[in-house]
Amino acid sequence: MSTINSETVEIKFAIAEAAADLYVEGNSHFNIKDAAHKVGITPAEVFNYFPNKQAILQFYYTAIVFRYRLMIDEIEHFDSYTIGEKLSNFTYTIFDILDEKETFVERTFQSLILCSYSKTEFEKEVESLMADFLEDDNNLSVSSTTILNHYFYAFLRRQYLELIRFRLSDASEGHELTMQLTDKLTNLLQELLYNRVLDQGFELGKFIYANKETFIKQIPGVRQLLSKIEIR
Amino acid sequence: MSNDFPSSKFERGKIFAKTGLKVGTNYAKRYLKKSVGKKESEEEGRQFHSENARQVFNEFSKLRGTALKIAQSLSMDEGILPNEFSEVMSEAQYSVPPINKALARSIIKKELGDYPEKLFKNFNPEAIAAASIGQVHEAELKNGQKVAIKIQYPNVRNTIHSDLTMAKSLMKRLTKRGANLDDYFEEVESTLMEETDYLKEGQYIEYFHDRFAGEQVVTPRWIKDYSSPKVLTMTYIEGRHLKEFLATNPSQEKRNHFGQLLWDFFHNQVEQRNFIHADTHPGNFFFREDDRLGVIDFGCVKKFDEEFTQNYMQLLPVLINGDEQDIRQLYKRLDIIKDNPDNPNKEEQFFQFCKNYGHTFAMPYLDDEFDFGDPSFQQRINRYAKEMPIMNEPRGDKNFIYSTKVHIGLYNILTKLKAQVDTRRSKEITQRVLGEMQQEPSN
Repeated sequence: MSTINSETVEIKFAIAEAAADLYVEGNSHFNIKDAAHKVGITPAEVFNYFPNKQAILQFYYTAIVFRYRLMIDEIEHFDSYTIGEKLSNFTYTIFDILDEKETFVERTFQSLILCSYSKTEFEKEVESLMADFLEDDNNLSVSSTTILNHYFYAFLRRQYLELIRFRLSDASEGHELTMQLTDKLTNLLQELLYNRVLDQGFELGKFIYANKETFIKQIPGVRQLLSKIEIR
Repeated sequence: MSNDFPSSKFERGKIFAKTGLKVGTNYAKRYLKKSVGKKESEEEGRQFHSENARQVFNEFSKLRGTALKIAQSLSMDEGILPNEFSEVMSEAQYSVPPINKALARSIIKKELGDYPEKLFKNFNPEAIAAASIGQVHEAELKNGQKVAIKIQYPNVRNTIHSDLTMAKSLMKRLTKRGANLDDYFEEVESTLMEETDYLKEGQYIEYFHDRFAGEQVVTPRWIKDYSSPKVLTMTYIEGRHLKEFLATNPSQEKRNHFGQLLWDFFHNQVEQRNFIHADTHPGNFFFREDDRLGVIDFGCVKKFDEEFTQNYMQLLPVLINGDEQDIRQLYKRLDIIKDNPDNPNKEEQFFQFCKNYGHTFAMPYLDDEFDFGDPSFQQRINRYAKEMPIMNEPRGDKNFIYSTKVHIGLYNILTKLKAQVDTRRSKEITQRVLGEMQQEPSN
């Protein structure tokens, strides 16, 4: 993620985009030669950036998260967004970007991302973005911050991918069903993360522990028991 | 709901049950208590209402769309519903959870093709008002024009349908077996569905602008280029809301002035016998510095069928004349009372109640001038609302739902304004329109 603005990313993205178009035109096949030609480099140079064809196509997805990070800067008051708003903004915006190459996404999302054997770069970037959102948020309850670890981010990422998959098969007009679902899910998540019930419970527990002697004596029977012990 | 009312109050009130079985069972308990002959004390009744109102409100504030709409139409009737309800209900207008900033952005992008910061010079991400099935944002076009943008919550049509289906099934538990609820629910559903079409609303905005905008009334213009079926952009109308206006402690003259404008606006609509602004809610009117009346929100616009309009308008002369036979017949035509009731005694009691209520309702038309500030008028209307006989099935023509909403809404604003209104012209209008209708051959 360190190299968003670098030329490398730009060239990589250009190659990936060209490849994605060719992939759709060529009925799920494309030549590295054609992609290189479209971008104006030699086929050999392509291998400076990518090890194989699959990596090229996968980079189209990875770049989406990079592009999204650039877009955040343009949103006024993005800092004032709640975690639910940030996550739903991320979701909706990615949907918009995915729509630019709808056919490509429909054909490849399953095979390139969902069914990939190892964690794809795209998935890593999604997790890292979510981690940034969550770790920067000051409104999270203390107890929520204790679950901010890579298991949780992986969990969020999986839900996120499911949401994209849901949308791909959502037949409602303008995918409104997915919009509604996203809204409900992110609201729920926010409610859970901001909720201070556990914090308060923990506070109470701490208080009781600190004054445990007083409390133990209050338990019916305990006092009697204690006094008997003393007599003996 | 245990309250009944000749017109639609009851039917609309019944929609309360949509908020869940919780409230339903509370009412069921109360029914039970009453039916086994235990008299509830006034305090108990009061507590019961507050408790329910609170619960209902809590549910409402969690829901959006349909529920808000219903909450609004109920909160508008302050003074007509038991006070405990209206107090809590009026909170609903101002404290409904918003469409969040991210969603608002995406809806605009989806509907208008780009993000708000690209389309507008300014766009306030915080909503300025909750609209019926969405919310309103303030913005500025690139050319500097100040606008109001109404955004619709996604998938609201399905939500309306499922909410109402749920409400209906709950309602069936509260009413007597076989009570016909379908008409009412269809009426509410079709009206709400129509409200989801913002292009249509845009056309109504223009239509009302042509009809009414002028020296006395200000209405917005539709900005078509920034509108879609789910996003509606219109020019921004400045002005004070009723509450803010009253807070400035206006003179009686000013109160009368605006009261008269409202009264005339309403009757001019009657005169033209066409679409009627059917959302007489305080939030939809502005009391402007330049002495003009601002009118907004043309989502809920109605054209009643001729038969109903004629019967409804006939209520006025018939109630004023006071001939009981005539009233009875007219009430039958309007489905308020039945030909063969199950319980004739109760039916008679109900009729008497409706007759008196109707008469109170016609009071403003008795003389040439009416003082809505008269506390005895307010008390009378309140008393009727509280003493409604309990009926366990909905009554009245389905069109009452919106016709009374307009009428009661108007009375409600005028009583709050404490306005004295000249009613001569309005009487002429009603008489003339009735005359016209009677002459026309009915289809």
